Amino acid sequence: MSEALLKDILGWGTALVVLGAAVRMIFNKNVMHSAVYFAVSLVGTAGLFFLMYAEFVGISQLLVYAGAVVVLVLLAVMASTKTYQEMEITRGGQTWGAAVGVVVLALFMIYLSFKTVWNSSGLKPYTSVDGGDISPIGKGILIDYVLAFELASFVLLGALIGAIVLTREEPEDRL
Amino acid sequence: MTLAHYLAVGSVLFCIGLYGALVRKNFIVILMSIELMLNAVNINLVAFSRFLDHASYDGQIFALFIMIIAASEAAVGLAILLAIFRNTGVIETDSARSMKG
Repeated sequence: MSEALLKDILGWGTALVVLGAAVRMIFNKNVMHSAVYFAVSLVGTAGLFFLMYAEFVGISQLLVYAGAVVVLVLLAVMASTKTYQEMEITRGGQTWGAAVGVVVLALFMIYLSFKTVWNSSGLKPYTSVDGGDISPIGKGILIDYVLAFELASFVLLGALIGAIVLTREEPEDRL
Repeated sequence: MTLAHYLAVGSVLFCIGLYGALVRKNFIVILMSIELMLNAVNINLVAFSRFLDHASYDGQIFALFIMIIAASEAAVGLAILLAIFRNTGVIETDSARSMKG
């Protein structure tokens, strides 16, 4: 089969995995199952990034999201869930309104995506880049957007200090 | 798959995450739904960068910054969850009502 057809099949399959895992993550009583479906959705999103020839962003997605955030969520689930809590999973009374609103929003955004004339006629065709995309991204981060990069590292420092302070246990003998 | 298809996938993922953040009671599922919304925005940005802007990689760099911020926000959110759980013993959002302590 042709390459375009193969890419289309892979694209739709990955998109189905992402959306299906997201839906199953939300409508689930068990928080551990939700965390696993969340991980599947994140790996599927990394697959979408690879299909778009954004390799560095895809690898970062796998490392940061599917690696670190999922482990963090699982840690929080295991540290804070005593038993399989058989509680009502929704807040009750607002689910239908939220569902209608969300469906309307999704349909509206899909309609806008397909209706807009994206001006991509004057560009080269959509293929992978020679040499990968790491070098231009590196130049962009360290030359063009270096201020944002440094501020992001400050945000990380603040988050690190905040997480340590929030989860610190006070010693029992300090009054 | 054209740009419109990738944007549609991002939109539907965003709306799924929005529904989860609005409706669920469990604090961890709310956090995961917020992460799904940020993921959907990343998909949109990378799609825009790849389809409409071949000269620079601004969309992908923006997606990397969003990833950094989202990871740090998830860490702090889960630290808050552990602190609340240590104080009250449950992780329903409806039970954290009092501002005392």
